[in-house]
Amino acid sequence: MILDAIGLTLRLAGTTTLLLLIICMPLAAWLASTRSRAKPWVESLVALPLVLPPTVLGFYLLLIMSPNSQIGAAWVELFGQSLAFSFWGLVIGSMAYSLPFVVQPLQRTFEGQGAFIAEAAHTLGAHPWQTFWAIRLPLALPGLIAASVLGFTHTVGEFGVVLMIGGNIPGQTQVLSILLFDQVESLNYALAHQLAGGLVLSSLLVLFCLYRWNHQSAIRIGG
Amino acid sequence: MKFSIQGAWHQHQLDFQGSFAPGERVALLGVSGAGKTTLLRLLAGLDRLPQAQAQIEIAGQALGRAWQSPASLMHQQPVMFAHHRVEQTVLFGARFRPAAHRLPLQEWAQALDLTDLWQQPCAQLSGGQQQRVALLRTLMSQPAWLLLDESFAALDDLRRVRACEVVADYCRRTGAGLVLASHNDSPQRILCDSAYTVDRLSGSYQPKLFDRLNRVNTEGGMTTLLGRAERLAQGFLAVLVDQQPLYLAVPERWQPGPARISLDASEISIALGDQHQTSMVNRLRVTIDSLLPIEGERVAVGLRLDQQSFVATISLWSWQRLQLVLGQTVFAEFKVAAVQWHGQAH
Amino acid sequence: MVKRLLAGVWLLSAAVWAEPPLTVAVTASFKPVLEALSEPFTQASGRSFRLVSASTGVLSQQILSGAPFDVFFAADRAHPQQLLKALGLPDDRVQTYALGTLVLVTQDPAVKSLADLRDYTGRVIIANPLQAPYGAAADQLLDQLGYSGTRVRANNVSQARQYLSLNLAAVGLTAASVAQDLPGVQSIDPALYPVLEQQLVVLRRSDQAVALLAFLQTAPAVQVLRDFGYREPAQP
Repeated sequence: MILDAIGLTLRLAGTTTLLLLIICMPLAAWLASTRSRAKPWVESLVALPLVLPPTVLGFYLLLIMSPNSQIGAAWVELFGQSLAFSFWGLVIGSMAYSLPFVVQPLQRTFEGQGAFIAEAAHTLGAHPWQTFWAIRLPLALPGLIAASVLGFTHTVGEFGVVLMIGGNIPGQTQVLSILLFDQVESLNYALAHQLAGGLVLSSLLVLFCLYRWNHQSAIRIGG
Repeated sequence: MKFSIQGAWHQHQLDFQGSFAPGERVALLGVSGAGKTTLLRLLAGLDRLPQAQAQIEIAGQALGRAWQSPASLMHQQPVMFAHHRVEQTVLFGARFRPAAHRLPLQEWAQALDLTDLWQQPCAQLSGGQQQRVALLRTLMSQPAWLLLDESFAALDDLRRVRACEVVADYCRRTGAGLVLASHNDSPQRILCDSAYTVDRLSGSYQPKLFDRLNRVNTEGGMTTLLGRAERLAQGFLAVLVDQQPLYLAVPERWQPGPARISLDASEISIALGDQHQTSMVNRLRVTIDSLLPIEGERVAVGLRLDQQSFVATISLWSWQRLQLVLGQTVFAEFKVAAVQWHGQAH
Repeated sequence: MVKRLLAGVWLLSAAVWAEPPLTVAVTASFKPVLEALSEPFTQASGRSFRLVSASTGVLSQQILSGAPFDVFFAADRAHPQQLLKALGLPDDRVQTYALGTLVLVTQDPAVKSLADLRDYTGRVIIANPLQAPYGAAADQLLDQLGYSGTRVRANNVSQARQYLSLNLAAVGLTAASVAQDLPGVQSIDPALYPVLEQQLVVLRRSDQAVALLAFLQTAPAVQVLRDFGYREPAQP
């Protein structure tokens, strides 16, 4: 049960992070260099999951996933059952929930590159896409790693959204945070301690490694 | 290149109009903050104004986005891609525009002193090295117009002349034109023929650069003369300027043919008659053209050869002692060291 | 004389109204019943209560941590008994107030009655067996019926109802009280699942608490109970 939950949590975090990276890299690059009027709108939307309670997100996701909505109905048509209570439903919920945690560090990284980097490439004849692949992306690698780690660990800690749309199915949607909740509510404190302690330690370890690596990189570049 | 830019830009009014022939080499003149960089960026397509306010045409086509334009801008601060090595970044320049000409990359790399640095990471280069790398990278992208913004600022005199020669070679091979802004006007004296002066975000064109640069003014300064490099004599190079020989230290590279040299006004003294002083190797017969008092009890004297003029600054006391008058024929004397070699970029 | 009488009545009612309302913690499944009884109670006794609702497990947790509830209506026996021990309360603080009933909610033509669940491959929504006695009962029932599909475990019976009302799955087993206006409700023979004895704990004794408990025994209150799908506790 615990192993199931751990495996599921890692799979969820990994899948979410990977998909988010693919979507967020171009988005962050665009946000960093655009002067379009739409920019504050997009930035606000991206930042929403930071300020809204997860219950709001969960609520809207439930409505969308329900066959009463067009999207939900289409999914049921294709797959026979609703998107809710499934691994992919959680992935979508997690992507929405962790979106700002991946976009914002990436955006800061691209902004940190400065406008001139892209300009220098453009003036040599490189189209924005070519500039992105050949120049901006390789230069953004440290930021990419930081964004991945943040997105990953944030998803591991996800609770509110999963509670609402997960269905608590062992092996499919019962992630560590939900398992922990179950144990606490059933007054199984011994197991709860193990799970909570494990989560804290592993998160601490991952974050420590990330920040130490950041620090060492800074020293290397500065020196 | 034709442009007509009249509009508001960041709370300022722009008024730039001009037309440069293909292959023309224009010096962009103007004090700091006058708007040279603004103009260069607009011509490069990096900054854009609405069509109604800016009509820019390059090589017969209306200017679109920066990457569609055959003009390349070299930024004031050289932009290095930290994940590249020198070779990588120079070749990167060659990837995007069609390679219409074969360029002597190795020869130019040598001329720019970059062969030792070929595998060096760009992030570890000094300012001057970065500038030379950025220049080579820009040339490799084969633009039809080079827009150079202070591209030689970090180079010492010798490297500067060499870099200018490389640029001249590029323009010769490809027929590309050049717009060059430089606070030190040496590169412009070496390379350019015409001038576009920018003053408070509006500009005007002068077809003869040296009419503008060589004017007698209160700073004295430097005048550039066009001559022909002829031969070696007594360990110096003899350059004929308006039929008179001028001697200067032999430059690293020269060949018989048109050349430019510049004279520093403060190093020239005026003498009467035929007395020879052996330390002054150069002696030109000139006519006094103009006189302008300048600060420090000195005067700036315009001296005319046959077609060309140059400036000498002497003390007021000397002028009075020699009893000089306008129109008088005298001799300008100066050491070999007072002559600066400004290349053979044509 | 009239003035004094009026003043007296006024003072008395002020005293009554000055009483803070009872804080009643109620399990999600029983909440609709107490909500329906709120008006009648106030009318009958001039007193009022306010409700705090969650699953039995969550509320127990809160009480153990010191939440200031006056009465706790749980959905099982186990939690009130645990609280009695943990808080050292006398036995007479606990009593059975209703017997819960489970219903089948089905919108899937493949499931026309309980027996169809044996071969059903779709999802079935129940409340979390670990926290909600209704969920535990449903879980046991499904085991008995031989259901082998995916059991979606909602946090409490209310969330189970929410899932069903959004059609996130076509079949569910939940408390009758929360399934009131869902389509496709079928009652289930109480003999098929363990008795869902629902007990309450009087955490803080007061006249109001006594009044509430007395009110629950009255005929109108019992009727409301039945309307919501509960059964009265067996007479001792």
